[in-house]
Amino acid sequence: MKVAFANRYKPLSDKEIVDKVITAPYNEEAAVYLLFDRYDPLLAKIYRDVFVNDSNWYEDCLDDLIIYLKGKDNDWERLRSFQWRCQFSSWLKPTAANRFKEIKPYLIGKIPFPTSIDNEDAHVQLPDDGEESYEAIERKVMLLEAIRELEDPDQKFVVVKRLEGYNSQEIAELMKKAWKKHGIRRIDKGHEIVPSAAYVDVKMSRAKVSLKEILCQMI
Amino acid sequence: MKMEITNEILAAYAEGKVSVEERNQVREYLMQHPSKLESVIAMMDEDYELELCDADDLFSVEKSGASSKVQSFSDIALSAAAFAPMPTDCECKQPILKKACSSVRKESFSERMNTLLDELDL
Repeated sequence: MKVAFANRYKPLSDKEIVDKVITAPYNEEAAVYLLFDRYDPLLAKIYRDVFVNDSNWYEDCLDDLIIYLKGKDNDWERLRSFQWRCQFSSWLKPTAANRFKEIKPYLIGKIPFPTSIDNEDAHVQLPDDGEESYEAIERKVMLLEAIRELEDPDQKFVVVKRLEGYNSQEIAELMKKAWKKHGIRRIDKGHEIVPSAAYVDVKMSRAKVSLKEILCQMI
Repeated sequence: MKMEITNEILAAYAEGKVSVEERNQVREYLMQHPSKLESVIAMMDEDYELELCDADDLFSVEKSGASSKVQSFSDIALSAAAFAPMPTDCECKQPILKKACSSVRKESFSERMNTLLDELDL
């Protein structure tokens, strides 16, 4: 989704835009650009993950996200709480996902809207049901950290996408798009590499070797 | 002292930007909330927004007269301020999201992690 005033904010970094938003008199136009333009592809993906085939509520979700980030005093309290300890997109993903999940039952009509949708008590996080053993969960947490330590970006990409549920052919297609997005070209023996399912499988095999080495060092 | 595990702390953990103490507390938190592991993987994914279909295929706008793909700030701001559901007879067209084109995920995230752990044969 493109907004008419995008060119004004396009050259700015995420931090520069957020600073404009949270500094009085609060630049709401900058916030709209950030969510409706720059991070529209990300938010659209998150929306599809939450709402699956129901396409009716995307704009409502974005509108609600803006209101949510503003907080009840309209001073961008929640956006202001972001302290730049990570990339803005990394914070936006769970923030948007949690909010979309929270308002989904209201939007699709399962639950009537409350007077205020801004429920401060909403996030009491109870532990998950103990379906898995402590050791099983511990292994997963360590695996997560090992994935983070993978040095080869293609190995990391392949593993992450595999865990997100994509098969080798799909990962190859996504890798082509990722390389295009980041301006990456890989050459091997004078030939340009084009990601394929076979390339993905090779990277996955090597990633497993790397992960085993990392996990053995961690234990 | 136990700290609150916010989305930002989880994201910083996903990027490897936490102290040893914070890492330990996040580990403890994830042990109690393993459903958050999937969220952490998404945070690690710098290319999370990429879809198998092209963006144009996924996001189309029904046009009514002038192009409605470009929205002005005032349209969006009014909509955000009111947060009113669309009346059924509204003439202005909403952007339409089509479903993503990808294969059906048969396994859960937890099962995929278990499969990978088994393949590592530690």
